[in-house]
Amino acid sequence: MSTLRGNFTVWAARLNLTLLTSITAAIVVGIAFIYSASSIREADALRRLYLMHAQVGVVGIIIILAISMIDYRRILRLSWVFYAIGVVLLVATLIFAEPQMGARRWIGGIQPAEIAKMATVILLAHFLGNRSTPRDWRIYLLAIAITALPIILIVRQPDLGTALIFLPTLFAMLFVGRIAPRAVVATLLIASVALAVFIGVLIAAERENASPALQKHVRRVIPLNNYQRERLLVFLFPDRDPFGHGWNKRQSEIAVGSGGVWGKGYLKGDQNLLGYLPASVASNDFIFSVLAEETGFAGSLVILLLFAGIIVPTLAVAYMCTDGAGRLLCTGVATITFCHMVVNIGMTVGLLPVTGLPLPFISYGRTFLLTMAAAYGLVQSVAVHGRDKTPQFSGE
Amino acid sequence: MELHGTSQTFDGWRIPLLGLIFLAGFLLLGARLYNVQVKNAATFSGRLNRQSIRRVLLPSARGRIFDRNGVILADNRPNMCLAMFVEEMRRSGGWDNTINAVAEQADRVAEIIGQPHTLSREAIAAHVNKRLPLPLVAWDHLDEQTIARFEERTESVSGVDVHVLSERVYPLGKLAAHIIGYAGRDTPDPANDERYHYTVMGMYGRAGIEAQYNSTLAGVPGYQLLRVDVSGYRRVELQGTDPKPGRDLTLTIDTTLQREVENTLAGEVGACVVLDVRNGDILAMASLPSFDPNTLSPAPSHAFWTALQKAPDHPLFNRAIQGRYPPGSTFKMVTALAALGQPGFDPKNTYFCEGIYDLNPRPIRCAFGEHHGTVGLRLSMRHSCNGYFCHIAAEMGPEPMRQMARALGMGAKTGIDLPGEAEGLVPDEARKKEVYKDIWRLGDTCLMSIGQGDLLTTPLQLAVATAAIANGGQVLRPRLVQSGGQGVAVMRNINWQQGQIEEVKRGLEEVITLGTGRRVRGSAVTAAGKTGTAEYGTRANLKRHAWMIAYAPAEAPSVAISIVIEDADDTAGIAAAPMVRRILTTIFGAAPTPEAAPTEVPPPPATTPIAHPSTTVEEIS
Repeated sequence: MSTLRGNFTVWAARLNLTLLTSITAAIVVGIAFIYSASSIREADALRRLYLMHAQVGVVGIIIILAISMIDYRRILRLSWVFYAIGVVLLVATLIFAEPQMGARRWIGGIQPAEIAKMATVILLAHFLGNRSTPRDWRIYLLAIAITALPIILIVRQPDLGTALIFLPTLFAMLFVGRIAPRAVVATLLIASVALAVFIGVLIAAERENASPALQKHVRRVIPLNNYQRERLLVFLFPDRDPFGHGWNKRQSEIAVGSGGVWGKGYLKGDQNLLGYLPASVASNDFIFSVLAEETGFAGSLVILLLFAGIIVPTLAVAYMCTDGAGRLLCTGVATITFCHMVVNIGMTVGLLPVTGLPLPFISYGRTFLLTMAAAYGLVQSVAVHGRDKTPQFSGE
Repeated sequence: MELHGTSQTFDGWRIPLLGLIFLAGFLLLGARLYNVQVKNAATFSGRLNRQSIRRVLLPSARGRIFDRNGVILADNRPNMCLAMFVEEMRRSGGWDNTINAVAEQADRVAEIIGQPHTLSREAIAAHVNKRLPLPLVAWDHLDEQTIARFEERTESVSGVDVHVLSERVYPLGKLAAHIIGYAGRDTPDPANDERYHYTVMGMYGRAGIEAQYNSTLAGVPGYQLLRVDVSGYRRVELQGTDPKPGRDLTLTIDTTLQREVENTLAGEVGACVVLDVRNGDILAMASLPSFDPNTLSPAPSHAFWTALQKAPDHPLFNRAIQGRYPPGSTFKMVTALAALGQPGFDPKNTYFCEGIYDLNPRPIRCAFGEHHGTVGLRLSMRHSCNGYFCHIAAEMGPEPMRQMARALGMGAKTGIDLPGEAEGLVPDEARKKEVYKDIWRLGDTCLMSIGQGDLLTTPLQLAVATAAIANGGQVLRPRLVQSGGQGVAVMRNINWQQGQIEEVKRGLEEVITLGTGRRVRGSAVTAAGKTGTAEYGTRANLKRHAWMIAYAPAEAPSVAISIVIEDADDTAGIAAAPMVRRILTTIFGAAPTPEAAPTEVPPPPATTPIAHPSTTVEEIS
């Protein structure tokens, strides 16, 4: 059992300080720019968001430190419980949650999808990291099944963006865990071709001179609702519907682009101040637009470096870790962080379609901040405990 | 127990490879951010400005117009309005809340000042949508009492304030209306994207001096750049320039003379130009019937405008520069000048007038069937003998007459600083062939010599030609505005021989002293001139224009006058000559010793060129 050998000094020495510093810095940046995004808004609730982020941020750092003291293997043993809680919450959300803007994502002030996401990563790490687990296609199918359940429930909300984040995370873990490499590669190839075909068909059906019959047919067949389809189309056809579905994308690009090299100065972002960047998204999904407008390309690079300061140490912890579960856990957390960052920043500059994925530690969002804190608490635990030669954890 | 993470289960390259994949993602993001924020920053800044910056054009005060003595002809008058400032009535929630608030406030103010407002819900909505930062005028032309009543209660109604618009006013009404013209409300430039720019409409000159000198009078509108938020509310005023007021204009006309000229022509349809022969200043220029420019500014009602357009006498038409009339016998001064320029022409050579000039197929007759007997040039001018002029024209041919007419400014614009001037017409062989499919014949030459046929002139052109004869050969560009220090614009200098011009001048003087223009006498100065009665229309409906051109004083000319009366009751000597006398009396005063009043003299038979009574002029030529 993990004891830290009763030695605080060892814990302090093994804690990854780069990681902790980067996360703390990201939370502080989040507080500053949530303030910028919301301080001039009319509603009191909006204006106080930055305070809420600060409070949750402090709690998050405490969680990181607390979890890091516990041997992650003890937590991984409970992974089936977390997973079950996540799935139950997702089901409850679908049944009980009040729809907000056409989607049921919140129940009791929390976002079960975020909890399920972390629970799934923990379960996969625990399951695939066990040395006794065979590395063949049956395990591959089982891993897919474990991942598919929350994905299906989240797609039903609907929250396609969050659901899709599961996939790269799963495949990164399968890759690092050396599970059925040929099957994984085959799946990825098939998925790429399928995605290309899908996009191709969509473009063919929705371009300006497309036949209405084809368009109608394709719209009926594709597994996207109107809203999701329009968001995707706005991405594929940049000039489409600039005052409707394309508004946020267009205004975000204007905000980021007009920031220039050095930005307009803190609290001086016109796009945000003048309300072109809607208040409802400026402090969460589009916090990067606010930041990039006010701090320019220089600020954007600082943010990228900050994320490098989170992801690289996490991968380093994974690399240094001596057991498979710890390695996979760190891999999964790093991949989630990376995907959120790329998708979030990518959508603010028109590189990717708009989805509601927050920027880790910076976007406002309590559940996500706390689950990410918990995840990085585990990463720190791996840093502290994962190098122990003595196996502390033997799986089932 | 088995070990996790022994070298057997751990491929050292997989995590670094994942790291490399992540690095690629970072580089991709970095490149995209560089592209958006560094390379294309200007594009996105431009988009930001385009969607958030509004330019408000502010009209400049329009310059005033004065006559040569400083009498004001066009002025600006404040129009007291009450305007709603919608931004101050902003309500949270949908636009409907704000529109309702504006409508309610308008009702409240209507009650206070006791005048209903004219704002419909649609008008408010349109204003909110398109011109939010501008004042919405709800009441205009308010008197002081109403404004006072409003101001007593002004604290109880926020967002409403007194707003002053500028209005064009013409204090003298119809006087010189065709010269001054009028200014109407500016129309928005269609190229101006209404979505992003607001224009506070100024005035735009639509006719006359107001149109000709619009850029001088209008000044330069100022502008203001506003940064507006996503709802269109003003956030910051970025920068701006104040409007530059337009410059005042001083015209060459003399209001007193202008009024007298208009009174002289009152009741007639016609035009009159009084020109300073020394510099081309237009001292008076009238066209009747006239209109009151106040009724057309800033914009006439549709019904009123249509009625004005369809009025039988076309009051908007400036006959002095746009009316094209056959000059009739007044053209004989041109014929005379042309003939005198021919080598071997002797003005003393006589012609025997039997009252008819035999011309195949239709003869030309002298007016009233008079026989002038043996006449030379002077006598022929004095009595306006058609036969004599046909005779000399037949000898010299049409070209010298055309050359002389064109030299004197006929057949081309005089270049007056007014829009819409007509060119008139000096017909030639090419036109004859084109229009009538016929060659130029002797009859055409003959008709031209007496100012008939297809020859067309404007009253202004005849005034300019008369002035050129009076001043000895300077064809001046007539002007209404003395552009500071630019001096006199001489279009052409005609080098007449001394005998040539003197002979014509003597002839024109004799027209007044002894001939058809005797009714001009009675002013303090001696005048010279020529009458003309141009006939047109069919025999059943024969009409005549009465013409008179004159200059005075005969010995040292200073003014030239040209008058045309459409469809005159009498010949020119009776209809037009007394008008010239009245105008000259206004300028120079009445004759000190009342000589025989011209009205008591039995009316001299004004000679009239008769093309052929039974046909139209066109048929003859």
